[in-house]
Amino acid sequence: MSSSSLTASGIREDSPISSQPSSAAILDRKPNASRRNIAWFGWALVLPACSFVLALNIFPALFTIVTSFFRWNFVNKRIPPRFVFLGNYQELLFSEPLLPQAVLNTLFFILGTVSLQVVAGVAIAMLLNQGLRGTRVATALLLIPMAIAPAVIAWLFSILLNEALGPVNYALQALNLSAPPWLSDARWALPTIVLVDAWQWTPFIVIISLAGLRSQPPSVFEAAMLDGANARQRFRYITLPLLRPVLIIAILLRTVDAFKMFDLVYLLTGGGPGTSSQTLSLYGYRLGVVQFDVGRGSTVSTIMLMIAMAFAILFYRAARVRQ
Amino acid sequence: MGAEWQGRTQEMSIVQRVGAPRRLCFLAGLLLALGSTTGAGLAQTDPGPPSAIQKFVDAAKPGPDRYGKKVTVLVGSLPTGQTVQWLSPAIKKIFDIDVEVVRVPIGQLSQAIINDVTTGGNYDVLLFPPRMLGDLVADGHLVNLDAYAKKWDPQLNDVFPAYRELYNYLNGGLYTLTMDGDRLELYYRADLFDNAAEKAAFKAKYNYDLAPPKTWQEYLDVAAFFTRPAGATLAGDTLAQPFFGMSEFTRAPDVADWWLNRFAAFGGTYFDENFKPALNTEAGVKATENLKASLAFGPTGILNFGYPESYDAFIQGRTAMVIQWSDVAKGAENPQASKIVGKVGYAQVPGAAIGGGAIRHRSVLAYSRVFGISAKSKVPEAAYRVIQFLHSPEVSNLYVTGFGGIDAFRLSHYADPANWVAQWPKLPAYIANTKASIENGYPELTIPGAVRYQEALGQQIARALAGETSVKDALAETERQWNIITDELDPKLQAGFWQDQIKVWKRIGLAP
Repeated sequence: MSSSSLTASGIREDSPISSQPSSAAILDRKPNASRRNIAWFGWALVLPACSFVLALNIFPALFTIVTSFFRWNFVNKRIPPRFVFLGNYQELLFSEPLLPQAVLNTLFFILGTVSLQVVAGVAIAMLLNQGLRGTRVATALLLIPMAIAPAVIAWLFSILLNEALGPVNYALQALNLSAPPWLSDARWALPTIVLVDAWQWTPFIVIISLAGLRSQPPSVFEAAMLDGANARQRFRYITLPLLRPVLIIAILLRTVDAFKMFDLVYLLTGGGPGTSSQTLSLYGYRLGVVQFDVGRGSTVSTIMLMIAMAFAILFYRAARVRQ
Repeated sequence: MGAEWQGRTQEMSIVQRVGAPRRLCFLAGLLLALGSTTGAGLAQTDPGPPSAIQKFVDAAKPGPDRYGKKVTVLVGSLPTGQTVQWLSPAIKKIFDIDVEVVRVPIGQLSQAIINDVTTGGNYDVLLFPPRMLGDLVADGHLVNLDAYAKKWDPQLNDVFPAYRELYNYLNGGLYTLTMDGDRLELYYRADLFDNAAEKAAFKAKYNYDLAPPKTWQEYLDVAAFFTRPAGATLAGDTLAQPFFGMSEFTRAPDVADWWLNRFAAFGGTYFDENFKPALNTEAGVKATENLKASLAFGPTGILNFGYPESYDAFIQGRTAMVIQWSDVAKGAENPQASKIVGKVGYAQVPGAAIGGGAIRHRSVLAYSRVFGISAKSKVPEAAYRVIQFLHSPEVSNLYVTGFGGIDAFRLSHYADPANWVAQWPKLPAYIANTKASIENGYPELTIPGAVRYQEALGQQIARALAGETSVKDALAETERQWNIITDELDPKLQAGFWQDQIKVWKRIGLAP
């Protein structure tokens, strides 16, 4: 007998066949290789998208953050950017009266317009969900404000709300009511812009809410009615909780949009009277684009980014709590 | 169950959920089209060139210098841009230069210019307000025109010294040629000021004769006198609507120019001799308080007034006075737009008594527009011929003496009222007044950073007018911001530019 022993399968250990990996080992290895291939393939597939995100989102955001640490005026190229670290933040937050006011104005605007839109939007959606005659036409008509460009809306409302000649004040005076200085009084300008924005975007909440209402199961309401729940209780304990996931998304979208409000403010009041309706976007625009003060303009943008992130985290947590 | 319904909700499309029928989508499309159409309707339409310009273009003949090049001109969407467009066929005929006119909304013009000179180089000729001159020159963005001007005379001696020395030259070099010479003037309702009953009532109340206000205090008196509610009597007629004493531009940042009319009259100047901001002074406080007080006699909504609102309030017959650019007088005589044709009188902006019965009027030479050639232009000579042509006495007379919005800047424009395209009975009085306003002009800053200085000043004045801050605090804050701007731009260099400007002011008799 030779010195070489047989394997369990009857093959000699020194046989060329015995040096081949076992089928179990092959089975073990194959998924690894294929997993690696799949991983590379996956990376290759997402690479274009990642590149776009890097180029169009991440890089500009990082560039803005880095720029906010410099004093840099784009016009005066003879003067090189000067590193001031947090100097721009310190100046804008603690010495410059316009930034805190712009932050407050923006928060007021968001709170005002989104609250109005949600309350009015849900109410109108409830009404439209009653299946009354003309609901479809009314729903279609509701799309009008959303279909009009903000510049046109601003133009329309500057005529409607013209304090001397506008039809709104004319009607109010005909009813012996006082005619407010809609856009020319520091106390009225921002609330007026809130109203105009709410007029344009409430239909968005209506459409979203209507979709949510129509997807609610009738059986739940029937069961509640059998249990003796009245209309208020059905709204409070069934309609609203079922609508909540849809509303959270709608509120998130509207908040993001309201946060960057620029066009209506720029066109209706230019941020005035004084700076009473100046939002963060408009303030950043004035610094970065009108004055070409890239450093301080970037600082405002970075502050906006931080506030937006805070909003996003709040919404994320709110959504998670609901789940 | 909630999760189940939530899942279903997420799967369904909005249209499915709303159950929108096809006709709803059609209606939405229709509305979108409506929205777009309405938007398009807001866009400015080009009425075509006035007959004087069209005749000139038709009569143009090939000149001796032929270039065979293309020159791109960046302009705002205001009448200046339209005029360059109208005259470009004549330039083609005379010089064989194709002029491509790129018009951008006026609010985006300065951004477009700065973007182009710093990163682009797409435009050969730039039309901009002189307040940008310092920034553009200090950073070498403009071609020095001295050599071209020696070869092809732009006839600068015919340009009012204030425009020429401060808006065309900087630090002794020629960089721009003017297209539009602006200044602020006072326009008033001569029919009301001449009314016997109104004169008597004014005399009884204020103990002096009703006349166009010579001082800023008189301006407040006259404005208060004419401010009346609906139902009151005005020059014998019962008012159906309220009537107001005055109208001015109040929006930031250009409200700064309306403030400067007063500030300069009270003896103020931008910086002191050591280049320290000199705004938070007696002159600054008086100017702000006077402007703020006057707004009580302005139309409803005046705190949100820009150019169109204040212009409109006057030519629609709702105010007794307006302080505006000099094209308002031309607009007021246009029967298609104005309700006060033939009723307008002209005066310099009010001033301040400086003793011995003398009054110092300072009319801000606000805005204006000048042509410069981008340092990145590959055809600077052809570009110069284009701007020299547009700036020439013969051509500029065509567009500054019509009813349009471009204003005269040459002495020859005022030489003979018969040469004006637009004609109205009071034209000689208008010409006399506007000449006096330029001669008492107060130039805008043209040193580097002028746009930023102006922006900071306008913002703070607007805040003071809106009651967001006190007058003293607004001026102190402006000074603080001006110091920051100066520090950023190199204080020594800035001071040098300012000293040069003061020398020019003194040389042409505009020094405070």
